[in-house]
Amino acid sequence: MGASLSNLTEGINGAAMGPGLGDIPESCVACVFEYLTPPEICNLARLNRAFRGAASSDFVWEKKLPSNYQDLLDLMPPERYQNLSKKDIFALLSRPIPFDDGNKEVWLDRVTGRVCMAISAKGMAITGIDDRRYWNWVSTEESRFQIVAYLQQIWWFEVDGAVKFPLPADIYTLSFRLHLGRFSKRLGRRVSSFEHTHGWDIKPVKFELSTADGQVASCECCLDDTQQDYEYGNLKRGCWVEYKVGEFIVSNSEPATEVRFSMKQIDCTHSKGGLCVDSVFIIPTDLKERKRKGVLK
Amino acid sequence: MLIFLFDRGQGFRVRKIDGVVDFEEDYVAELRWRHIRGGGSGGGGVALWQTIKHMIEDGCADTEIPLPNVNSQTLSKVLEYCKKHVEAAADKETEPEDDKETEPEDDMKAWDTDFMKTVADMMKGKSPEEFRKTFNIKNDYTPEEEAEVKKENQWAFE
Repeated sequence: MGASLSNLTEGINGAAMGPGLGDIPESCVACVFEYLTPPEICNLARLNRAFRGAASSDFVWEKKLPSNYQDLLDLMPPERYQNLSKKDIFALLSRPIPFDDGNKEVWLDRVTGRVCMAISAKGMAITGIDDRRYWNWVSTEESRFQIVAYLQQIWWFEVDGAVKFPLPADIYTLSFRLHLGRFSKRLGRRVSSFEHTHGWDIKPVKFELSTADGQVASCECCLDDTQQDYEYGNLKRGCWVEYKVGEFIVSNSEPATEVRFSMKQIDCTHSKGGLCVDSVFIIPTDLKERKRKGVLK
Repeated sequence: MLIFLFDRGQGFRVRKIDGVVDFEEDYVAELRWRHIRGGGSGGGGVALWQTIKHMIEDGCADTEIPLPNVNSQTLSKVLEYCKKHVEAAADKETEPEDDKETEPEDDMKAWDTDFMKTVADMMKGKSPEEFRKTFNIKNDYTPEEEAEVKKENQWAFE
Protein backbone atom coordinates (compact mmCIF):
# COMPACT_ATOMS: atom_id res chain seq x y z
CA MET A 1 0.00 0.00 0.00
CA GLY A 2 2.86 2.31 0.83
CA ALA A 3 4.39 1.70 -2.58
CA SER A 4 1.27 2.78 -4.39
CA LEU A 5 1.14 5.99 -2.37
CA SER A 6 4.61 7.02 -3.47
CA ASN A 7 3.79 6.17 -7.07
CA LEU A 8 0.99 8.62 -6.74
CA THR A 9 3.25 11.46 -5.65
CA GLU A 10 5.72 10.65 -8.41
CA GLY A 11 2.93 11.03 -10.89
CA ILE A 12 2.10 14.49 -9.65
CA ASN A 13 5.66 15.75 -9.75
CA GLY A 14 6.53 14.23 -13.07
CA ALA A 15 8.68 11.27 -13.95
CA ALA A 16 11.97 12.91 -12.98
CA MET A 17 11.88 12.78 -9.18
CA GLY A 18 14.32 15.07 -7.44
CA PRO A 19 15.82 14.36 -4.07
CA GLY A 20 13.30 14.25 -1.25
CA LEU A 21 13.55 13.55 2.45
CA GLY A 22 13.60 9.86 1.62
CA ASP A 23 17.05 10.39 0.10
CA ILE A 24 18.59 11.65 3.33
CA PRO A 25 21.99 10.05 3.90
CA GLU A 26 22.00 7.54 6.75
CA SER A 27 24.85 9.28 8.57
CA CYS A 28 22.78 12.41 8.71
CA VAL A 29 19.70 10.75 10.12
CA ALA A 30 21.97 9.13 12.69
CA CYS A 31 23.07 12.60 13.91
CA VAL A 32 19.47 13.61 14.52
CA PHE A 33 18.78 10.31 16.31
CA GLU A 34 21.15 11.42 19.02
CA TYR A 35 18.33 13.64 20.26
CA LEU A 36 15.62 11.00 20.15
CA THR A 37 14.74 8.26 22.65
CA PRO A 38 15.07 4.55 21.78
CA PRO A 39 11.29 4.05 21.30
CA GLU A 40 11.22 7.08 18.99
CA ILE A 41 14.14 5.71 16.96
CA CYS A 42 12.55 2.26 16.71
CA ASN A 43 9.37 3.93 15.49
CA LEU A 44 11.28 5.78 12.73
CA ALA A 45 13.05 2.59 11.64
CA ARG A 46 9.71 1.54 10.20
CA LEU A 47 9.72 4.39 7.64
CA ASN A 48 12.00 3.00 4.98
CA ARG A 49 15.33 1.23 4.40
CA ALA A 50 17.49 4.32 4.90
CA PHE A 51 15.87 5.09 8.26
CA ARG A 52 16.15 1.46 9.27
CA GLY A 53 19.84 1.53 8.42
CA ALA A 54 20.42 4.65 10.47
CA ALA A 55 18.31 3.28 13.32
CA SER A 56 20.54 0.20 13.46
CA SER A 57 23.88 1.98 13.48
CA ASP A 58 26.25 1.39 16.38
CA PHE A 59 27.06 5.11 16.32
CA VAL A 60 23.52 5.88 17.50
CA TRP A 61 23.20 3.18 20.15
CA GLU A 62 26.65 3.52 21.64
CA LYS A 63 25.47 6.83 23.07
CA LYS A 64 22.26 5.35 24.47
CA LEU A 65 24.10 2.67 26.45
CA PRO A 66 25.61 3.45 29.87
CA SER A 67 29.39 3.73 29.77
CA ASN A 68 29.84 0.50 31.77
CA TYR A 69 27.24 -1.61 29.96
CA GLN A 70 29.81 -4.39 29.79
CA ASP A 71 29.30 -4.86 33.56
CA LEU A 72 25.66 -5.73 32.86
CA LEU A 73 26.60 -8.07 30.02
CA ASP A 74 29.04 -9.84 32.33
CA LEU A 75 26.03 -11.18 34.26
CA MET A 76 25.09 -13.25 31.21
CA PRO A 77 26.83 -16.09 29.40
CA PRO A 78 28.97 -14.57 26.58
CA GLU A 79 27.17 -16.51 23.83
CA ARG A 80 24.05 -14.43 24.50
CA TYR A 81 25.66 -11.14 23.51
CA GLN A 82 28.55 -12.06 21.24
CA ASN A 83 28.34 -10.55 17.73
CA LEU A 84 25.31 -8.46 18.62
CA SER A 85 24.97 -4.92 17.30
CA LYS A 86 24.79 -2.11 19.86
CA LYS A 87 21.08 -1.79 19.22
CA ASP A 88 20.52 -5.47 19.98
CA ILE A 89 22.63 -5.10 23.11
CA PHE A 90 20.41 -2.23 24.24
CA ALA A 91 17.31 -4.33 23.57
CA LEU A 92 18.84 -7.25 25.46
CA LEU A 93 19.75 -5.10 28.48
CA SER A 94 16.35 -3.43 28.61
CA ARG A 95 14.94 -6.74 29.78
CA PRO A 96 15.61 -7.66 33.42
CA ILE A 97 18.87 -9.54 33.94
CA PRO A 98 18.80 -11.76 37.04
CA PHE A 99 21.83 -12.09 39.32
CA ASP A 100 22.67 -13.33 42.84
CA ASP A 101 20.66 -16.59 42.46
CA GLY A 102 17.90 -14.80 40.60
CA ASN A 103 16.94 -12.76 43.67
CA LYS A 104 18.13 -9.51 42.13
CA GLU A 105 17.55 -7.94 38.73
CA VAL A 106 19.15 -5.12 36.83
CA TRP A 107 17.93 -3.55 33.58
CA LEU A 108 18.15 -0.45 31.41
CA ASP A 109 15.23 1.91 31.33
CA ARG A 110 14.00 1.78 27.71
CA VAL A 111 13.49 5.50 27.36
CA THR A 112 16.51 6.94 29.13
CA GLY A 113 19.01 4.04 29.06
CA ARG A 114 19.66 4.49 32.79
CA VAL A 115 20.28 1.56 35.10
CA CYS A 116 17.51 0.30 37.40
CA MET A 117 17.59 -2.49 39.94
CA ALA A 118 15.24 -4.59 42.05
CA ILE A 119 15.97 -6.92 44.97
CA SER A 120 13.46 -9.60 45.96
CA ALA A 121 12.45 -10.29 49.57
CA LYS A 122 13.95 -13.74 48.81
CA GLY A 123 17.34 -12.05 48.67
CA MET A 124 16.96 -10.31 52.05
CA ALA A 125 17.57 -11.38 55.62
CA ILE A 126 14.20 -11.44 57.38
CA THR A 127 14.11 -12.12 61.12
CA GLY A 128 11.99 -15.22 61.83
CA ILE A 129 11.42 -16.07 58.16
CA ASP A 130 11.74 -19.82 58.76
CA ASP A 131 9.05 -19.87 61.44
CA ARG A 132 5.69 -20.35 59.74
CA ARG A 133 3.88 -18.85 62.72
CA TYR A 134 5.44 -15.51 61.71
CA TRP A 135 6.20 -15.45 58.00
CA ASN A 136 4.97 -17.23 54.86
CA TRP A 137 6.05 -17.12 51.24
CA VAL A 138 3.17 -16.30 48.91
CA SER A 139 3.35 -16.82 45.14
CA THR A 140 1.80 -13.99 43.16
CA GLU A 141 1.85 -12.37 39.73
CA GLU A 142 1.83 -8.98 41.43
CA SER A 143 5.54 -9.29 42.16
CA ARG A 144 8.18 -9.09 39.43
CA PHE A 145 9.87 -11.97 41.27
CA GLN A 146 6.57 -13.90 41.43
CA ILE A 147 6.82 -14.25 45.20
CA VAL A 148 6.38 -12.08 48.30
CA ALA A 149 6.95 -12.58 52.03
CA TYR A 150 3.75 -12.34 54.07
CA LEU A 151 3.99 -11.47 57.76
CA GLN A 152 1.21 -12.92 59.87
CA GLN A 153 2.34 -11.64 63.23
CA ILE A 154 5.62 -10.84 64.98
CA TRP A 155 7.10 -8.69 67.74
CA TRP A 156 10.58 -8.15 66.29
CA PHE A 157 10.06 -6.90 62.72
CA GLU A 158 13.36 -6.61 60.87
CA VAL A 159 14.25 -6.95 57.20
CA ASP A 160 17.85 -6.38 56.04
CA GLY A 161 19.50 -6.53 52.67
CA ALA A 162 22.56 -5.52 50.70
CA VAL A 163 23.64 -5.31 47.10
CA LYS A 164 26.98 -4.76 45.41
CA PHE A 165 26.98 -3.71 41.80
CA PRO A 166 28.98 -1.32 39.55
CA LEU A 167 26.15 1.19 39.07
CA PRO A 168 27.00 3.99 36.62
CA ALA A 169 27.32 7.53 37.96
CA ASP A 170 23.91 8.92 38.86
CA ILE A 171 21.72 9.80 41.84
CA TYR A 172 19.61 6.85 42.94
CA THR A 173 16.52 6.48 45.10
CA LEU A 174 16.07 3.36 47.19
CA SER A 175 12.55 2.30 48.18
CA PHE A 176 10.70 -0.64 49.73
CA ARG A 177 7.60 -2.00 47.99
CA LEU A 178 5.08 -3.08 50.62
CA HIS A 179 1.41 -4.04 50.79
CA LEU A 180 -0.71 -3.76 53.89
CA GLY A 181 -3.11 -6.70 54.09
CA ARG A 182 -3.29 -9.90 52.14
CA PHE A 183 -4.70 -10.11 48.63
CA SER A 184 -6.27 -12.86 46.57
CA LYS A 185 -8.52 -13.35 43.57
CA ARG A 186 -12.12 -14.31 44.07
CA LEU A 187 -14.32 -14.87 41.02
CA GLY A 188 -11.76 -13.02 38.93
CA ARG A 189 -11.76 -9.95 41.17
CA ARG A 190 -8.92 -8.83 43.39
CA VAL A 191 -9.81 -8.68 47.05
CA SER A 192 -7.74 -7.70 50.07
CA SER A 193 -8.22 -9.03 53.54
CA PHE A 194 -6.95 -7.40 56.69
CA GLU A 195 -7.59 -10.13 59.25
CA HIS A 196 -3.95 -10.08 60.41
CA THR A 197 -3.32 -6.38 59.84
CA HIS A 198 -2.55 -4.68 63.11
CA GLY A 199 0.05 -2.71 65.03
CA TRP A 200 1.39 -0.48 62.24
CA ASP A 201 -0.42 2.63 63.46
CA ILE A 202 1.14 2.51 66.93
CA LYS A 203 4.75 3.29 66.14
CA PRO A 204 6.55 4.10 62.86
CA VAL A 205 8.79 1.71 60.97
CA LYS A 206 12.36 2.91 60.61
CA PHE A 207 13.86 2.67 57.11
CA GLU A 208 17.62 3.04 56.66
CA LEU A 209 20.26 2.85 53.98
CA SER A 210 24.03 3.17 53.98
CA THR A 211 26.72 2.90 51.35
CA ALA A 212 30.25 1.56 51.68
CA ASP A 213 31.60 5.07 50.97
CA GLY A 214 29.80 6.48 54.03
CA GLN A 215 26.53 7.90 52.75
CA VAL A 216 23.55 7.34 55.04
CA ALA A 217 19.84 8.10 54.85
CA SER A 218 16.88 7.16 56.99
CA CYS A 219 13.24 7.91 57.54
CA GLU A 220 10.34 6.83 59.70
CA CYS A 221 6.84 6.12 58.57
CA CYS A 222 3.64 4.68 60.03
CA LEU A 223 2.51 1.98 57.61
CA ASP A 224 -1.13 2.25 58.69
CA ASP A 225 -3.49 5.11 59.41
CA THR A 226 -4.84 5.60 62.92
CA GLN A 227 -8.51 4.88 63.67
CA GLN A 228 -9.22 8.58 63.39
CA ASP A 229 -8.00 8.82 59.79
CA TYR A 230 -10.08 5.80 58.75
CA GLU A 231 -13.19 7.89 58.38
CA TYR A 232 -11.81 9.49 55.23
CA GLY A 233 -10.87 6.11 53.77
CA ASN A 234 -7.62 4.27 54.41
CA LEU A 235 -5.21 4.91 51.56
CA LYS A 236 -2.42 2.76 52.95
CA ARG A 237 -4.33 -0.53 52.88
CA GLY A 238 -4.94 -2.95 50.01
CA CYS A 239 -2.49 -1.47 47.52
CA TRP A 240 1.24 -1.60 46.81
CA VAL A 241 3.08 1.38 48.26
CA GLU A 242 6.69 2.33 47.57
CA TYR A 243 8.27 3.73 50.72
CA LYS A 244 11.21 5.93 49.80
CA VAL A 245 14.14 5.35 52.15
CA GLY A 246 16.50 7.93 50.72
CA GLU A 247 18.93 8.80 47.98
CA PHE A 248 22.59 8.10 47.38
CA ILE A 249 25.08 9.41 44.86
CA VAL A 250 27.33 7.31 42.66
CA SER A 251 30.15 9.27 41.08
CA ASN A 252 31.86 6.40 39.30
CA SER A 253 31.04 2.81 38.34
CA GLU A 254 34.44 1.81 39.74
CA PRO A 255 34.68 0.60 42.45
CA ALA A 256 31.34 -1.18 42.60
CA THR A 257 28.69 0.50 44.76
CA GLU A 258 27.78 -1.34 47.94
CA VAL A 259 24.45 -0.46 49.55
CA ARG A 260 22.91 -1.83 52.74
CA PHE A 261 19.27 -1.25 53.55
CA SER A 262 16.85 -2.19 56.30
CA MET A 263 13.43 -1.64 57.80
CA LYS A 264 12.72 -2.20 61.48
CA GLN A 265 9.97 -1.98 64.05
CA ILE A 266 11.48 -3.68 67.07
CA ASP A 267 9.40 -2.25 69.90
CA CYS A 268 8.45 -5.54 71.52
CA THR A 269 5.69 -4.08 73.67
CA HIS A 270 3.24 -4.67 70.82
CA SER A 271 2.94 -7.13 67.97
CA LYS A 272 2.33 -6.26 64.31
CA GLY A 273 1.30 -8.23 61.28
CA GLY A 274 -0.66 -8.53 58.05
CA LEU A 275 2.01 -7.11 55.72
CA CYS A 276 3.44 -8.25 52.36
CA VAL A 277 7.09 -7.49 51.57
CA ASP A 278 7.86 -7.63 47.86
CA SER A 279 11.11 -5.96 46.96
CA VAL A 280 13.50 -3.04 47.14
CA PHE A 281 13.93 -0.79 44.11
CA ILE A 282 16.99 1.24 43.24
CA ILE A 283 15.99 3.67 40.50
CA PRO A 284 17.63 6.88 39.18
CA THR A 285 16.03 9.63 41.24
CA ASP A 286 14.39 11.79 38.58
CA LEU A 287 13.67 8.95 36.15
CA LYS A 288 9.88 9.07 36.27
CA GLU A 289 9.76 12.81 35.94
CA ARG A 290 12.18 12.82 33.02
CA LYS A 291 10.32 10.05 31.27
CA ARG A 292 7.12 12.00 31.53
CA LYS A 293 8.79 15.01 29.93
CA GLY A 294 10.59 12.85 27.36
CA VAL A 295 13.96 14.26 28.39
CA LEU A 296 17.06 12.19 27.76
CA LYS A 297 19.85 11.70 30.25
CA MET B 1 30.41 28.72 -2.72
CA LEU B 2 27.05 30.35 -3.11
CA ILE B 3 23.88 28.39 -3.04
CA PHE B 4 21.08 30.29 -4.56
CA LEU B 5 17.50 29.19 -4.10
CA PHE B 6 14.62 30.29 -6.20
CA ASP B 7 11.04 29.40 -6.79
CA ARG B 8 9.81 28.12 -10.13
CA GLY B 9 6.19 27.97 -9.15
CA GLN B 10 6.20 24.21 -8.67
CA GLY B 11 8.83 24.09 -5.97
CA PHE B 12 12.17 25.48 -4.97
CA ARG B 13 15.39 25.09 -6.84
CA VAL B 14 18.96 25.47 -5.77
CA ARG B 15 21.72 26.88 -7.91
CA LYS B 16 25.38 26.85 -7.17
CA ILE B 17 27.59 29.71 -8.27
CA ASP B 18 31.27 29.45 -7.54
CA GLY B 19 33.62 31.98 -6.16
CA VAL B 20 31.46 34.37 -4.19
CA VAL B 21 30.31 34.05 -0.64
CA ASP B 22 27.10 35.95 -0.52
CA PHE B 23 23.61 35.25 0.64
CA GLU B 24 20.43 36.57 -0.74
CA GLU B 25 19.22 38.30 2.38
CA ASP B 26 15.94 39.29 0.83
CA TYR B 27 15.19 35.78 -0.15
CA VAL B 28 15.72 34.46 3.34
CA ALA B 29 13.45 37.17 4.63
CA GLU B 30 10.88 36.29 2.00
CA LEU B 31 10.94 32.64 2.95
CA ARG B 32 10.60 33.46 6.61
CA TRP B 33 7.68 35.70 5.84
CA ARG B 34 6.00 32.92 3.89
CA HIS B 35 6.61 30.53 6.70
CA ILE B 36 4.99 32.86 9.20
CA ARG B 37 2.10 33.61 6.91
CA GLY B 38 1.48 30.25 5.36
CA GLY B 39 2.70 27.84 7.99
CA GLY B 40 2.86 24.31 6.67
CA SER B 41 4.90 21.45 7.94
CA GLY B 42 8.53 20.87 7.24
CA GLY B 43 11.59 19.21 8.62
CA GLY B 44 14.81 17.48 7.88
CA GLY B 45 16.56 20.73 7.01
CA VAL B 46 20.00 19.59 7.97
CA ALA B 47 19.51 16.37 6.10
CA LEU B 48 18.44 18.26 3.07
CA TRP B 49 21.47 20.48 3.33
CA GLN B 50 23.62 17.37 3.44
CA THR B 51 21.89 15.98 0.38
CA ILE B 52 22.49 19.19 -1.49
CA LYS B 53 26.10 19.24 -0.37
CA HIS B 54 26.65 15.66 -1.55
CA MET B 55 25.08 16.42 -4.90
CA ILE B 56 27.28 19.45 -5.39
CA GLU B 57 30.39 17.55 -4.36
CA ASP B 58 29.52 14.71 -6.70
CA GLY B 59 29.25 17.22 -9.52
CA CYS B 60 25.77 16.09 -10.43
CA ALA B 61 24.36 19.50 -9.80
CA ASP B 62 26.50 21.86 -11.78
CA THR B 63 23.80 24.30 -12.48
CA GLU B 64 20.58 23.43 -10.73
CA ILE B 65 19.27 21.05 -8.14
CA PRO B 66 15.55 20.49 -8.37
CA LEU B 67 13.78 20.21 -5.02
CA PRO B 68 10.16 19.53 -5.80
CA ASN B 69 9.22 18.12 -2.41
CA VAL B 70 10.48 20.84 -0.19
CA ASN B 71 8.30 23.48 1.35
CA SER B 72 9.27 26.95 2.43
CA GLN B 73 9.61 26.12 6.11
CA THR B 74 12.17 23.42 5.46
CA LEU B 75 13.99 25.53 2.96
CA SER B 76 14.22 28.54 5.22
CA LYS B 77 15.72 26.27 7.85
CA VAL B 78 18.26 25.01 5.32
CA LEU B 79 19.09 28.53 4.32
CA GLU B 80 19.58 29.48 7.92
CA TYR B 81 21.87 26.50 8.35
CA CYS B 82 23.91 27.31 5.21
CA LYS B 83 24.15 30.94 6.19
CA LYS B 84 25.44 30.13 9.65
CA HIS B 85 28.08 27.81 8.27
CA VAL B 86 29.21 30.19 5.55
CA GLU B 87 29.43 33.05 8.03
CA ALA B 88 31.47 30.94 10.40
CA ALA B 89 33.83 29.92 7.58
CA ALA B 90 34.19 33.54 6.49
CA ASP B 91 34.91 34.68 10.03
CA LYS B 92 37.61 32.11 10.32
CA GLU B 93 39.27 33.23 7.12
CA THR B 94 39.26 36.93 7.85
CA GLU B 95 40.03 36.89 11.54
CA PRO B 96 43.67 36.93 12.45
CA GLU B 97 44.79 33.96 14.51
CA ASP B 98 44.65 34.73 18.18
CA ASP B 99 43.39 33.10 21.34
CA LYS B 100 39.79 33.71 20.28
CA GLU B 101 40.26 31.20 17.50
CA THR B 102 38.14 28.44 18.97
CA GLU B 103 35.17 30.65 19.80
CA PRO B 104 33.35 30.62 16.45
CA GLU B 105 33.64 26.84 16.34
CA ASP B 106 32.13 26.42 19.78
CA ASP B 107 29.41 28.80 18.75
CA MET B 108 28.86 26.74 15.59
CA LYS B 109 28.63 23.56 17.61
CA ALA B 110 26.01 25.03 19.89
CA TRP B 111 24.06 26.23 16.90
CA ASP B 112 24.27 22.81 15.23
CA THR B 113 23.09 21.08 18.40
CA ASP B 114 20.16 23.41 18.59
CA PHE B 115 19.38 22.78 14.95
CA MET B 116 19.54 18.98 15.29
CA LYS B 117 17.25 19.21 18.31
CA THR B 118 14.75 21.20 16.28
CA VAL B 119 14.78 18.57 13.56
CA ALA B 120 14.49 15.80 16.16
CA ASP B 121 11.47 17.56 17.68
CA MET B 122 9.82 17.58 14.26
CA MET B 123 10.30 13.81 14.06
CA LYS B 124 8.60 13.07 17.37
CA GLY B 125 5.09 11.84 18.02
CA LYS B 126 4.13 10.64 14.53
CA SER B 127 3.18 7.17 13.39
CA PRO B 128 5.24 5.87 10.44
CA GLU B 129 2.22 6.42 8.17
CA GLU B 130 1.75 10.01 9.32
CA PHE B 131 5.46 10.65 9.02
CA ARG B 132 5.65 9.35 5.46
CA LYS B 133 2.68 11.42 4.47
CA THR B 134 3.95 14.62 6.09
CA PHE B 135 7.48 14.38 4.73
CA ASN B 136 6.63 12.59 1.51
CA ILE B 137 8.89 9.67 2.23
CA LYS B 138 8.74 6.68 -0.02
CA ASN B 139 8.12 3.34 1.65
CA ASP B 140 10.58 1.05 -0.09
CA TYR B 141 9.84 -2.00 2.08
CA THR B 142 8.32 -5.18 0.79
CA PRO B 143 5.42 -6.40 2.97
CA GLU B 144 7.72 -9.14 4.35
CA GLU B 145 10.40 -6.60 5.26
CA GLU B 146 7.83 -4.35 6.85
CA ALA B 147 6.64 -7.18 9.10
CA GLU B 148 10.25 -8.03 9.93
CA VAL B 149 11.11 -4.43 10.88
CA LYS B 150 8.01 -4.19 13.04
CA LYS B 151 9.01 -7.37 14.84
CA GLU B 152 12.63 -6.36 15.33
CA ASN B 153 11.60 -3.08 17.00
CA GLN B 154 8.71 -4.41 19.05
CA TRP B 155 10.82 -4.60 22.23
CA ALA B 156 10.88 -0.81 22.51
CA PHE B 157 7.10 -0.64 22.92
CA GLU B 158 6.48 -3.57 25.27
